[in-house]
Amino acid sequence: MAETTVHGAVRRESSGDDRRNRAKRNRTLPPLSPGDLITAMPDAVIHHIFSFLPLKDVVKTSALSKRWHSAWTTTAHLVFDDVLPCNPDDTYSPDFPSLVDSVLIRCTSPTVKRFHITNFEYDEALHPKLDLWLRFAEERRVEDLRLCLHQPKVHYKLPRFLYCLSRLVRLEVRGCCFSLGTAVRWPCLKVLSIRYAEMSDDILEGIVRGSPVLESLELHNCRSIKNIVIDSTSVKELILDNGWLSNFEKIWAPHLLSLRVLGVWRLHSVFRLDDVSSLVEAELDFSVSGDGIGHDLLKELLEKLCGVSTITIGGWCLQVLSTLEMEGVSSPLSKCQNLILRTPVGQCELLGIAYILRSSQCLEKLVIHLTRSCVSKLKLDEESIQRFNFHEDLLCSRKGNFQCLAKHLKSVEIIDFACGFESKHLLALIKFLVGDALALEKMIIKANLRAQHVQKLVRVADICQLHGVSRNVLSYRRASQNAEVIFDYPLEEVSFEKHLRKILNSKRG
Amino acid sequence: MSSSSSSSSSPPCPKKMITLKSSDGETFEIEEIAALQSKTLENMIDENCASTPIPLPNVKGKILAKVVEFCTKHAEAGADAETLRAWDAEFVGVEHAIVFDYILAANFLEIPTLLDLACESVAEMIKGKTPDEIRKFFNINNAFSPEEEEDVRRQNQWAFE
Repeated sequence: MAETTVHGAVRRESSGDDRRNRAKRNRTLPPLSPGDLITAMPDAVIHHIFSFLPLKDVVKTSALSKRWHSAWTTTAHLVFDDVLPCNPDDTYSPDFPSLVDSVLIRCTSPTVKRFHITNFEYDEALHPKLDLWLRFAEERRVEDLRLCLHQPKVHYKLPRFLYCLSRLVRLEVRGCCFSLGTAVRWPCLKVLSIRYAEMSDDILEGIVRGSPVLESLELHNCRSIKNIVIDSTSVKELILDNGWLSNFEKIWAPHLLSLRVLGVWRLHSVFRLDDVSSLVEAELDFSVSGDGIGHDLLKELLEKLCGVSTITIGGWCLQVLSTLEMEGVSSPLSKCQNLILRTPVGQCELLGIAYILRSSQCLEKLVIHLTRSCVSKLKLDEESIQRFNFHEDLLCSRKGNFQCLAKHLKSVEIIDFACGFESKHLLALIKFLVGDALALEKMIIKANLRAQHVQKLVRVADICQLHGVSRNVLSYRRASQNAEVIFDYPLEEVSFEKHLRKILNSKRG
Repeated sequence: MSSSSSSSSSPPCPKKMITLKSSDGETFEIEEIAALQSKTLENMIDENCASTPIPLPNVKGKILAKVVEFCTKHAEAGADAETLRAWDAEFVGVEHAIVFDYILAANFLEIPTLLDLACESVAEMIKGKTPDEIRKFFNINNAFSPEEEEDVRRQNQWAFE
């Protein structure tokens, strides 16, 4: 039986007699009952099964039988989650640090591949304890380390030995702080996620320099970064999520392939994309609170991203684009071939969609993930909202050709139709696309009907509406003779109702 | 539900087939590209032992048939993740004795996707159950005396709440 480690070396283990041999040496144990297949499994398989179980269930196996008594101590996955007990009547409410101590003492596996401590209610008095736990992880050659502290008053200063972990492949830290004094050496690190940390340009540079095979970097709620400079050729993906970055100026990463800007930001000025010339994929699903810089920021970003072939845009950004459209700002010409929108399609987003469609002259595929409502709404004055007023030909009357519709757009997907089918704006958009896209081959509409959607429909008796709307869409005039409009649910009344009933009766929602 | 018939171009050269022989003498044909999901078979193919039927003394015919089915399905191009997940769930929705056979076969043939799938499904059978329930389900002989069992529970009390 072979076990392959992350480092590619294949170790051949003796086939699963370890536990039984040990047992034979101890004393005569009753024979395995004939139907007991699981105890006879090789150790490597038992470990693999353990890796899918919460730690509690793994430890429980110690009570199964004498042969199982110590099986759990060889597990290579230690995941400790400091959550509040769900049952307030629990007579025994364990103290998290003691719990962790009691498990670590018993753990005999020489390699602990995964070591996670999450939701930890940390305070400064526990500093030495946490140092000890991390020392344990270091000694056991951890590969996947996660340390997530729950809103600590003072951030935990990472111990010096943590900066040199020779086998670390994945690291996630939350509520910790780095220091400049020790050089970072993570020769195998591929995925890094830093959340709620005080950073600095120098620290970030040191981390990237010390991680020569780093592929994915996520910075979530990190303060005090001014410039993100990544000249390493290995880093393929950068995710920036939530930030209060008052001085953030620029991103310079000429080898980066994928950039995602997510969450809520508080910015005082526009930041620049100085060099992201290798990007093939960009996601802008963020919002900015305060200071009204949305206009300039989106204009700058779209200009720099005009060579990127796959772009994802979220609801707030589309609302900003709607205001740009109303002001008659010309959209930069982009090479985007795949456009993904994560947004509701309503009064405030429709014009932004027109803006981006006109800009994406080579667009071949459009996917719209409908959401219920925007997480943050752009603050607009009454006058602006008035100008978004809807009328039937809103899209058709926009100035300028939609080049992509004339030549390139082949495929459109609308996902989670059950979320937005009542919107006249969405229907106008679908009608416009079907009616003007000369090269269209497929329009796929997925309702992704889930039990909660269906229950809502049944209560409000909107089944007829969804049904009627769907059939209506089928009847829209099509510009392309080859265009197919496909639904992922049946449209004949009887089979439709059967489909809904089947969903309601299924266990999974 | 209306579905479109997509025109797929057939590959220019015929698919290369490998023959496998189970422990009870049955032979099965599998496309080479599907066989590559097994590291064991991949190594054999690389070293050119793949011309004669490959004997697999550790795998019964009944199980080998299902393993071939699994590898073939997972080698298919263009299957979307959701459909494949549903197919996988059905594949392991069998009595647990058979799932253990899958585990042993996947372990021997080094098929990581099948090993993960089967081990995870066994984990689901264990998750949330009390030791008593687990013993009953898997036919495990309990060799503990009541005092010994009490002892074990007390050593890690938090896990038994």
